Amino acid sequence: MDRTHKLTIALVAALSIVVTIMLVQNDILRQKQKKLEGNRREAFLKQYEVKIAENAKIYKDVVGLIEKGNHSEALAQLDVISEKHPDNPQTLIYRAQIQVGLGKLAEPIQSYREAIGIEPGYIDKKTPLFIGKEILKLVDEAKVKLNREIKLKPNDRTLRIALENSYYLLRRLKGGCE
Amino acid sequence: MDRLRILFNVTILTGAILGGGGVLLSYYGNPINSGICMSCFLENLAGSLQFHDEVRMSYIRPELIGFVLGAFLLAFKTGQFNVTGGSSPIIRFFLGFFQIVGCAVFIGCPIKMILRFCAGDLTAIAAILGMIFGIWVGARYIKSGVFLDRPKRLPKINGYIFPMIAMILLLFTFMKPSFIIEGQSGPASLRAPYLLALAIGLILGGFAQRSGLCITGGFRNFFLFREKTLLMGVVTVFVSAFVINLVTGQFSLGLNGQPASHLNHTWSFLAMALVGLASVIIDGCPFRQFIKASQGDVDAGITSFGMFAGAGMVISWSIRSTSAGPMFGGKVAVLLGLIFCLVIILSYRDAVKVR
Repeated sequence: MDRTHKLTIALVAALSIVVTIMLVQNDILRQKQKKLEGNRREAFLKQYEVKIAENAKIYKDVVGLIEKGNHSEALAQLDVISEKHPDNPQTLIYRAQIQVGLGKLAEPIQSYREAIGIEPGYIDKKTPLFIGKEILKLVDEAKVKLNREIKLKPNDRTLRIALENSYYLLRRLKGGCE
Repeated sequence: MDRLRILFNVTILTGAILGGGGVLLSYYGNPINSGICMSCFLENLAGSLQFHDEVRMSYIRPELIGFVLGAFLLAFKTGQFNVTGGSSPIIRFFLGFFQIVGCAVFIGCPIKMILRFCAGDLTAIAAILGMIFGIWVGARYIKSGVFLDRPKRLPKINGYIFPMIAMILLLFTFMKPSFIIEGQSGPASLRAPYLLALAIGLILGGFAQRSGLCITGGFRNFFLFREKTLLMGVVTVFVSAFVINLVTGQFSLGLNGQPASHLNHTWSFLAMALVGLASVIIDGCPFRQFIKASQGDVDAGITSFGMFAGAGMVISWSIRSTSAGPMFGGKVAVLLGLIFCLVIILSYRDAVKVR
């Protein structure tokens, strides 16, 4: 082992010690990170709490109208809100719920599909927005009805699109790595 | 006695662990039909290291770390840690990249393709046919003398870097520094218990190193030499995944409404044909590349880095599929990948003629 070799080994050892001290000083080690881990989940849930509270304010009138059974007025109110908050997927969720109440099938499925495209949390059990069971119920019902109707009207494109949308929702509801 | 020997054949055992372990990991918390998927895991890893910004796909999967460390430790212990490299590195990098592109357009690597099929997902049939077709095409070129340059022996330090990265990732999973992202919703939040995932990864890594099991390699060897050892391992993956799916109640036969799938069968076929063809050129499916990289194959390490780059890009550039079907970028990338493979083959065919 020549002098250069010994010096290089000493340098590697010194640099390793410096890095270790830096890591310890910056509290990257476990204790602080344990706190951070707890905070991550809390921060994540907090985001949703804020969103839900905001939506409660924005859609207060709509919810009232739906509860009274005034569907047409509620839909009109949703149109006004969607102009002010075009990116809020909650509009689509309320629209879908009203459309279900009106006995429609293809339209609410389309609305749910669009809503999930913007906010996948609606079909994610780990978020407080989760309404997967409500959507699944509709999709199960729609599959049966749409397949029956397609047999009667095989060339009806809207029915086929609605069925495709149902299967899309079903695939998303089942989860998987997407 | 012969029957016993077949039953305890290391390739068969590896296949059983791969298929059964994959299904069990889903059962205990990993995304459905994604108990083991190299492309999904790498996408998760890329997100966790902030190589893409889809938080829902960001998590360091302990299985990946297990594969590397399991294979490394066993190779080291059995004297099979041979450090080689220098065979067409840049070509391997891009073939690794395109392997993941193909996987992302189908939604799953060859292992997940089997897991999906064995869970009753009939959309995987097009992918299986595509992959076999790609391997068959690749095998024909190999028969005509096309293969990448021969690797050379390299100093040992080259082989330690890949396992060292796995060790650092393992530390990250404990320390959880702030620059490591961990999704709290979506696929990233679906996890099997940490120790179970790590243990299955370690065991599988060790067995895969010992047996050399490779999904694409099984078919390739059969097409090239009618050699069935690896193919038997692949068949065992099918059988064990199917049985464990039935036992755990995860089997659901159908074409429509399967998790993380789409109905564009042509693109599933083409995407997995790309994976099959690329895998034959670089000698191994994405899983096998990881195992080889862990036992000192620096070329496989370069391919794995290409796979990692691909995993980041498929999300950032939307070159993948969703449940709605393949995105435009994904379709273009699959075709570019096929063109790339064929251009490489053509250039090496010319080299063969000159030789």
